Amino acid sequence: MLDETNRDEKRLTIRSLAKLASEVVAQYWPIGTFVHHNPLHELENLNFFDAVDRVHEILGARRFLPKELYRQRLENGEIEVSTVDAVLSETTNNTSITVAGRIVDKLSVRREILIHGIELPSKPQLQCLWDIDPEQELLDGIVSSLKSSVSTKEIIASQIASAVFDIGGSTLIGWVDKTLGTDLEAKLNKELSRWCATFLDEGEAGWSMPDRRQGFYACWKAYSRLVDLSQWGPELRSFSNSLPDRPEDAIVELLERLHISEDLATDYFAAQFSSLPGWASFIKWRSSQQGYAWQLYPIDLVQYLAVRLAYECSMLSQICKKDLGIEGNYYSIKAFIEKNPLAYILLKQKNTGQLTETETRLLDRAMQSNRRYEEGHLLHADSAFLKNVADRIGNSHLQSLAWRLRGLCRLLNINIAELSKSKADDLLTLSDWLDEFSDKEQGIVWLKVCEEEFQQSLINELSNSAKQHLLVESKDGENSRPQAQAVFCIDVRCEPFRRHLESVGRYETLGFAGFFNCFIRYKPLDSACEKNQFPVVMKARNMVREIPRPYHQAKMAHYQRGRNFLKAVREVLHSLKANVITPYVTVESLGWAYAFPFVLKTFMPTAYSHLGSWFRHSIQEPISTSLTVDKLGHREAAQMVRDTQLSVIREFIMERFKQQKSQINPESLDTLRRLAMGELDISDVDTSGLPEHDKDKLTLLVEELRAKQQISPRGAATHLERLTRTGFTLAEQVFTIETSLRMMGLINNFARIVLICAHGSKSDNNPFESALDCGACGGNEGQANARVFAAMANKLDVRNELARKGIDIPVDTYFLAGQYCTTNDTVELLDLEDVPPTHRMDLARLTEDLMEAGILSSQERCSRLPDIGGEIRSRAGKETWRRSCDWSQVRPEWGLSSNAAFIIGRRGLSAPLNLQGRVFLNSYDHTIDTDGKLLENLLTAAQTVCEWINMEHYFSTVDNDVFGAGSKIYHNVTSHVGVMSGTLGDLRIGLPEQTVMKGETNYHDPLRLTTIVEAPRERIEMLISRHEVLQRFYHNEWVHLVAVAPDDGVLYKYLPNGEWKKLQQQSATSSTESVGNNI
Amino acid sequence: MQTQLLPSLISFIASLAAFLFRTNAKITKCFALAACLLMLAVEIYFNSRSLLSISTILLATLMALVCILSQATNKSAAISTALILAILGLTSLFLLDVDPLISKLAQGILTLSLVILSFRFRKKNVSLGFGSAAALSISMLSLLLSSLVHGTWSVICQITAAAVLLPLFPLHVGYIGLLNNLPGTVPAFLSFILPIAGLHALVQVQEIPPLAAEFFVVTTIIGLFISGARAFVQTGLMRIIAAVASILLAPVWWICSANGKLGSENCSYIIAVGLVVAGLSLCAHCVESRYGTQSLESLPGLAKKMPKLGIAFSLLTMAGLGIPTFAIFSSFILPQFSPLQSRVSDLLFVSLAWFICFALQISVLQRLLFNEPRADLLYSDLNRSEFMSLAIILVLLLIGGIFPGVMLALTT
Repeated sequence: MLDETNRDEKRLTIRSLAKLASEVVAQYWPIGTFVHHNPLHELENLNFFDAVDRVHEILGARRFLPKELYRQRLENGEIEVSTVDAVLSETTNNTSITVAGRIVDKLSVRREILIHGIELPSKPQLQCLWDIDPEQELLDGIVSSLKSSVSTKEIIASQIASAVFDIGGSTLIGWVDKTLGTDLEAKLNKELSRWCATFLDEGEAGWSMPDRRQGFYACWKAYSRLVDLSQWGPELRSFSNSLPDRPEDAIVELLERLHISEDLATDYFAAQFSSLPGWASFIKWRSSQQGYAWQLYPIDLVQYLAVRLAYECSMLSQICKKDLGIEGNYYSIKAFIEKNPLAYILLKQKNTGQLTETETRLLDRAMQSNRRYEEGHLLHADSAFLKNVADRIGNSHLQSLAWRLRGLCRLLNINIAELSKSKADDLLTLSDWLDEFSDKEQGIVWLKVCEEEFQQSLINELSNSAKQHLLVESKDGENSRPQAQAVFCIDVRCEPFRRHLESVGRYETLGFAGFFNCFIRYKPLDSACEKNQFPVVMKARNMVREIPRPYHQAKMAHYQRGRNFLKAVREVLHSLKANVITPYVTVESLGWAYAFPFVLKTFMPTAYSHLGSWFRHSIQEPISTSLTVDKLGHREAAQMVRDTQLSVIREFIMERFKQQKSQINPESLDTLRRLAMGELDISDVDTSGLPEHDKDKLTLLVEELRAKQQISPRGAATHLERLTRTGFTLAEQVFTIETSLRMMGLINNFARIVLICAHGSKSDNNPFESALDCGACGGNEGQANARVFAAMANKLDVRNELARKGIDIPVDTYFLAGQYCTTNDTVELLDLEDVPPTHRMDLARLTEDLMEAGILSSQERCSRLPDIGGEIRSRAGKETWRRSCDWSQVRPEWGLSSNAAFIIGRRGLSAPLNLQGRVFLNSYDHTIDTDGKLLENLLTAAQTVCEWINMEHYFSTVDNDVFGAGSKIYHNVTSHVGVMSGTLGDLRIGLPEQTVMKGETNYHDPLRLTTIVEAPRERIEMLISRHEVLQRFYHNEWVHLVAVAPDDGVLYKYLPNGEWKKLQQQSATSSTESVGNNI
Repeated sequence: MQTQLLPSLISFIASLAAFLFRTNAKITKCFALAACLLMLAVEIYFNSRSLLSISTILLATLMALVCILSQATNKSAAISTALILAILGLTSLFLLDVDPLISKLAQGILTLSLVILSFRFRKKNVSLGFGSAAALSISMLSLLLSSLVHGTWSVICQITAAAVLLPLFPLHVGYIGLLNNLPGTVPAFLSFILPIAGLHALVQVQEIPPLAAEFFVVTTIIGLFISGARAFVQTGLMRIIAAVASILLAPVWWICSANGKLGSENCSYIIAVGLVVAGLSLCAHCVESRYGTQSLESLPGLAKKMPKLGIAFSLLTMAGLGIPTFAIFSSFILPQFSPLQSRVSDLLFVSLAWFICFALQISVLQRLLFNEPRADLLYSDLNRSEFMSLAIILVLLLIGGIFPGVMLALTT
């Protein structure tokens, strides 16, 4: 029981420990606003390799790709052996020994193991293969040699010493599963998934959990009493009744029962979170979002832990008493292991398939005869078995050594017969070398090799283009005016389009973050909710609404009717399907009608998509809109509120009293408004002109206006506040445009048209749709941001202010908004009504060139899609369109897969290169960034986004089961927040298999991001020293950094120790060539 | 007579040669295969009257060929090859029925050999080894006594001998022990030969005494439940296959007790079961020769890593479940469920046996073929000779299923 005096302190401690433990899981955003994030984000304070190691221990996740895939790349020529040697020589000291009369050096050993590998089977298989091996006698000879130096007792002793329980590596119930071969943790995870999915539901369920406002823990306590808990052990019922009301207090009690002290609690909590990382990640995110609407139903990791520990405590108690004869707590388990190390080792070996069938049977018989896993009983049951088991373990170990040594000899062309005559010490040294070069070390080398290959290829090309760029600059001086300029997002998918656009005309393209520095909460015309069109880690106050253009105001009524009709039809159909009884009738009566769209959208998706659009537009005719970019003054806003109130009252009167508009006296409307606002008293009012003459009825009418129509001081204040948040002041607009233009280096030589091109995607039946949209725009399409930017930049007042600040935009420059669809390579130009007539020809030319660039991009894209392959010139556009409409298409586009680098610099540096859609491109001109503030912004913000994307892809590729979302085929959308594989289980975070894999091999090449900055090294160093995030990135080896010296075009790599290494160009290649297979 | 004894002679000579040249496994295997082909040719040429009258000995020789083909080429496999050829020779002798004395002698020597083998190869499961030796000794003594005594006692001895070979509880331990403990593909061969040997012993019984018939009813029911229950807790693949075989053969004894004797349609069923069990045993051998004797739970994901084995095992399991197109369906399931022929009690028993088999086989299929493969196992799929062996068995089952008359002709 808790001492009253330190109860609060304990609660705070529990919360702190849980927060610390939650480092192992990163936040996960709901799938509707999918955010690429680094799943190991909170471990960036560790070195990259240490962090992946830690996660490997806790989650059992792979750290690197399987070695076979790397070896295949070596065979295919994608990796050079010379690169392997170069990387190995950096990590290996120059040691050698003499074996079988030959000098064998460590480098050769490591090279052979890396390239060819030595397969070591499991112990039973090894025994089987050993018995039939034609070189069995030689192998026995090696074993005999080894036996002279290594005794069986030492081997057993070392195995026993390693038989400890690592509290950070697994939960107690996980330990039981590994030891006794049960499946309790999976059962517990399913149960918790059920509770989480139900509680965290955001509108998907037809029947949602009641009383969720109490919180997750309280709901569980209340409702678990109503279900049968007997399968979870006898204590869970009493827990749900007797545990304290506060989850922190419950955790304290449960930790006492489990005998887990405070210093072990962090690791233990981390193991708990790692057991169901998907739900834990989502809960972590949700608990940090105080303004999130659904957090009205509060949940956090502490509540989650309390529920989980309650189940674990009860299950542990039951199973440990029944099968092990011990109490279900940490100390008892530790004592059991210390007292029965051999039994423990045997049990572990049995569950990992290291025992033969006979040994398994004997062990089971010995255990079950007394139902006690104690070695005394084992001895009593079958003394021969236990007596031999130690010898068998020792012998197996030596056989494994001999097998590996034989494998190594084959690789090094050493005579095995000679090897068996070698000295035992030499054999052991070789064996130590093999042990040192573990799977982890091999993975590190392979990763570095692949990165080295990629970087070298890119560096070669950049070196050439950097020198050429300097030449061009020195010759040309002032640049000629381009035909048009186009600003795209830094997204890797924009790179091919930019390249193709530049190839079809004198276009200059620039890269900038897709939200164009416009932090807006955007309310579309059709939606009641606001969307956050800015990076998710930021906040915004300015709201922008989409409103109909004045000349389409009259069509609004028709538009709204159409919208309401379509919405009603959708809701009715959904209700028919979701209800308990109606589906039976619905299927019989309407099932046949679904056949037509089903067949059409399966076999003719493009036609179906066009038909759908036509149908929607015929009912809900589209209208032209504009955005409320300018902020209203207070007086204007108040007037707008008043006008809106009058309009609402008019509609109300027309509906209630069945009056025509012409019959309504405007003064009576104002009177009613003032009555509802409390500005007038009913007793003072002449009711003759009002709809209700009776004062009592009038009072009721006024109350109804206040309650239902929000005509009240509070309603007016809310409306006013919203209106005053809408739009940007002039100063804000100028700041936005000026910062953006300076950051992208566009402060002079403006073209007649500057296209601000956001991006979005198009796909059908795709829960991961948001992942293909613009991450900088909060997982939404970016067209709203582009329109806002263009509107601001076209304003005369803004341009006048910009001119005073040194950015002179010519009068004939027009900023045009557009959106690039990354799935079908089309560009939609927006707000065309506002384009001045003088720019018609420019616009026509631009439209044509955008279409041409789109076709070229589609052709390039199709060549990379596995189910198309090759080059299809004429059909490429149609093919990409079809994919974007196809509901069965699990891979409408590759998305950001194959991303590998981030270039911050002028376009001249990267323009000649074919970067194959693998590089983020952010325009930056170091000459105008004298104090480094712009670069600081790019390195700390944009680079972080790129790093998150890169790491998301990295980990989803190396282990899609743990970090990714698995195959889309098995996905079920759950609770409107994410997907599960199958009907119940963990929330799948990360990217689906089809996004990063191509069949059994990886499509995305998992490399750490390489950032290339065209800026003086001193400036970069200054920024690194100033920002911890940059130090973590570069010193902890999460990101590689390369600087391009602006004066001479030489490239320097930043090393983790803070030094710069000059990079040499390896082979002279033409700068106009594409970069080749390695990019 | 000499021509009839020729196949056996070839077999014995080949067995001896295989044993003598066991150090060179490749030569032994080639020699053994050649001997089997020669035996087949002799059998067809000399002993068949027409294309259709192919005999059970031909099938036995074919099975021996298949089992030898499936063997690995190493020293221990050479010993298995020699054993298979020796058993084939003895089986041919007593199946031929050339001379009653020779036949009885051959049966006796075969049974004695099996006793010795059970004892010699008991290391894998000592208790089962001893049990198997004991049961086979009973069979051997019963055979001997059946020659010495007359009348009902002779019949009972004959039936007892058959009950070991065509496994009936509680003497089924002989069958199970042999399938579990013997090396190489000998168990696969025996899984086909033993029921035929038991069938041969049983057809000589003109009529089963009523008391014995009632005894069969009790023992088959008890055996069904006990074998099923034991099989569900087994972890070894071969143990489960042996249990499935004994459950599949239980209805034969049930029908015997009902009809008072063994009908010809039951004979074709026994052969079909023998083929299925032999195929499954070969699959088990392929797995054991690669991965050692591990429990089923330690060998997941074989469908992904060994697709050929996955296909063969699945088809054999379907055949064992009596799915149409395969021999068991045509030879047994279909006739049993014919409304004109079957009694309610027969239907109930057969259904029960089928459900237990179904549950066992599907459980094995799931545990063996599915789930994620292990990272520490070196997987390798079936090689050509192994795949060919299994293909031959599947083709035979298909022929038996599509042309049930062929199976029937074997046993007339």
